[in-house]
Amino acid sequence: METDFERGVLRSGGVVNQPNPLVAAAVVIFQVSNFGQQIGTKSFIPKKILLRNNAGGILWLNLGTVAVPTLLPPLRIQNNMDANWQEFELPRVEFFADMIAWTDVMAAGGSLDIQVEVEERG
Amino acid sequence: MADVMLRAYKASIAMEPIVALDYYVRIKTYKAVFYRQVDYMETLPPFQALDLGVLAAQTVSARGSISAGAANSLFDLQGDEFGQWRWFPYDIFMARIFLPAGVAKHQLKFLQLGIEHSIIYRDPLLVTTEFNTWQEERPAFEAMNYSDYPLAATRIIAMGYRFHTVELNKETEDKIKDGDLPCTTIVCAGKA
Repeated sequence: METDFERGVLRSGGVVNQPNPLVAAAVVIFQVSNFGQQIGTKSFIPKKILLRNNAGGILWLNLGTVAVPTLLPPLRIQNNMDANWQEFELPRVEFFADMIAWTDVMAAGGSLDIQVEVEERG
Repeated sequence: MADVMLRAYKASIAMEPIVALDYYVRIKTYKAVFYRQVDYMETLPPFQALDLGVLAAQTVSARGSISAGAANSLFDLQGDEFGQWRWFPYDIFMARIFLPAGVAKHQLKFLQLGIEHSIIYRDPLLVTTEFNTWQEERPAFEAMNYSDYPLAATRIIAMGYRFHTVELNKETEDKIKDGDLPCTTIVCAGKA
């Protein structure tokens, strides 16, 4: 018999557009809940990552909370294609700070749309 | 005998209050015994009771019951109240519990048992984690990060009931001591 004591709740970040490359242009794709009046420490685990490459060229997408280390391996994103990763493809990495994303390159005029679904815990 | 049977029965099912309203209780702390009557009770739904904070790989935290940055222990109760608790480590660490801070719980001759996150699979109802507290005689916890990876948080989820009690007059208390009235014993401490 198992209970659901461990489980958090599923929620999604917004669709975030990323028009520029490199870590200096990193965008926040999910913010950790840290309201001063909440009880306890919240964290989250990415469960789905959905991407749309809008003529940004073939690129790597890095994910983490700071530039180094990244918390997941970089994801290869083909030009003008959708890409998505599901829970069973993602390591169980827990974030205790805002999740940020940045690319290695970005074609002029191109961009990347990013959305994550997470299990929020705590 | 009645209260022993009551406790055995309660322990075998999902969490229920150890006593009901108007029950007589014998509250045993590590230093005193009180005879009282329950006049109010309510549930304490599962909540994050404690976060012992960041913990480096292969280290043990300081023993405590107050989260980093917090002013109070969330296990403290008002005066005249006792609590019935079940709990589990929410993150991947091993917790040792002391009740109160200097008295280890779950002691064997050569070992104080630790409770890991896996308790939610081995004991899904958390029956074996149950303990009681009296007023502000709170438990204390140590978190052990036995892994080779640091932890960003060491959180404990707790749930249970709180019971407000009132004093008894001497006549009633004597009847309980003489065995003329039923009474449930509530052990609110570890055993030194």
